[in-house]
Amino acid sequence: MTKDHDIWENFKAGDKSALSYVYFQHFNSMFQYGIKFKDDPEFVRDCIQDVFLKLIQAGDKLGSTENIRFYLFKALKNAIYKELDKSKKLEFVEFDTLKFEAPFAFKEELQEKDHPTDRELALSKALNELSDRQREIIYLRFECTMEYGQICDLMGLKSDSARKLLFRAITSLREIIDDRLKHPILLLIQFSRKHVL
Amino acid sequence: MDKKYKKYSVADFTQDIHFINWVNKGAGQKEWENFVRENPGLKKDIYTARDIVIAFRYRANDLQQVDEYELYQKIESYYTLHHRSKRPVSVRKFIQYAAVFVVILAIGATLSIFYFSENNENYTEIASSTSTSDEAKLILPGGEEILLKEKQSDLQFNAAGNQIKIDRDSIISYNGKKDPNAMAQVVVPYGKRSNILLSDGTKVWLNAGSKIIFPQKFTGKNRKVFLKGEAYFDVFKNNKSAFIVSTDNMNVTVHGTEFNVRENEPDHELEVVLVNGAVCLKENSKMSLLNKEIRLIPNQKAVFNKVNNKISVESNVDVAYYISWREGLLEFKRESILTVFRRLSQFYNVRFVTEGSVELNRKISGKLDLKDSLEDVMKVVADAAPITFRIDGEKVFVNSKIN
Repeated sequence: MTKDHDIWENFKAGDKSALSYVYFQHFNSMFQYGIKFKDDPEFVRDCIQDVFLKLIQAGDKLGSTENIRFYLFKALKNAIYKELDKSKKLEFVEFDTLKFEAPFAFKEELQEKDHPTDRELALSKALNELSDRQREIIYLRFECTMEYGQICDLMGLKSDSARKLLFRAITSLREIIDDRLKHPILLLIQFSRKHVL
Repeated sequence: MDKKYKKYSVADFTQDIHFINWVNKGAGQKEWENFVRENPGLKKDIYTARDIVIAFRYRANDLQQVDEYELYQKIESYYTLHHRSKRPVSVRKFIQYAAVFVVILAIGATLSIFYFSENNENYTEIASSTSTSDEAKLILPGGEEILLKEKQSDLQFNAAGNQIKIDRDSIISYNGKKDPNAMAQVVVPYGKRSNILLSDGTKVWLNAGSKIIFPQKFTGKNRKVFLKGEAYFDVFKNNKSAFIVSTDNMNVTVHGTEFNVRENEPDHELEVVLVNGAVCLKENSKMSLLNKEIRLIPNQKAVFNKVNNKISVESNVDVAYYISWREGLLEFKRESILTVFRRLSQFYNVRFVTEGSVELNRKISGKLDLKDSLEDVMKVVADAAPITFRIDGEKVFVNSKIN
């Protein structure tokens, strides 16, 4: 992780190749994360711009970090929250309950199916019943393979909450998937066909 | 494979980072396959865990709607401004006033336009007719010459092909006739360099004593530029349109990659060093003795010798060594004093005159910071080699130390 530390210091010092590295290394993941909160590419792009400009403006006052991605995710989430808070005058949005709108890939695939099986419907229902918090934890843990400590920090949760919430989500799914009369491989094949990482 | 996995439950597997990376990215495929085979009792749980990881997947959003590179340009400009000025630059003001002033040229479209056909004859004629003055210039398709004052100028061509930003504080709008073959030219004499952002997003670092000719906007199937001298290219990835760097003898074709091209006139060589991606080299003459194409992979260097028409490829070269000039560093490893003087001559625009018996073939190694004055740089060289020197205007007189 010291590599991130050094690059960040260089970035603060005005090394343009460090800026380039940080930006192009993390733009995609920032975008994919941001768009889960609001499915509006222009909006997410503006937030990312905001993040970088503010980081640059902070200059020397910027802290150090051992994990640039985490730092950027946090800054992005802040930026998104501020923007949404501005525009939603009626609804008060709390930082740690920002709506994680994006649907699971499975849900979208299911919509295209004409005759979904009972188990598929049950699975879809279980996924729907997950809270926004659980869905964000799932994204950070499975797609971003982020450590629990960072997940909790990012989401304003107490130390073991993320793990517990994830465990509950896993358990609810497991009950449905485990309840199998057919061969276990079948379910696997149906899912993995259309996956996009 | 860690023994801990033998005692894992479904939930344990599902939350394990290595397991997740196997399911989602195929990492450690063999290890996990072996593990399942050796522990058949865990098979059911592993497949359940796998199904859960798959169920938790999100679709990746299409990035094409957002111009990642265009945003970077804005951010980079602000970064430069912020680190250059003593006072903090207001973000809002920056967004509003990105250009200090705008110069609009109303160009009569009938002025001479560089016209390029498929063969390169016209190109070589035009390149040699440009006088070797001391000024760095941008020559527009209409023939207008714009002097570039900075020692290291910065040019940015916008995607539409109708604006050029010069040194980040002036913008030229070019409204000439839309000739698809209209080419712009950047000429940098010895002692000056230029960074150019082409309309397709490709970045070019043009070294001292070089010229590059390119269209203001790339149309047509391929993106072709002509180079004389040395340049480093960071080609913007476009799988549908190949980027071709054409020199007197050789074409370098790429799709999206970083490499350095250097014409070594005194030794009659052309050198291409690949940083990342892949490039294809092909000889540029009509009577090509080289029928095949040569592909390079990263960290390879190809040297084309014009005298004997041979190409040699060296692998695992120290890339940094070849591109350190971009950072204003000149590194040399067991190079002859003569070569070092040639490079310094190019960079500082001075002439070296040897008096007495200087061992020009003597090999030296070192790293020079070209941001230093010539005086300081020569002191470093004089430490490494048995020479004394005297700078007199544009000439450097060198003598052997033993005298």
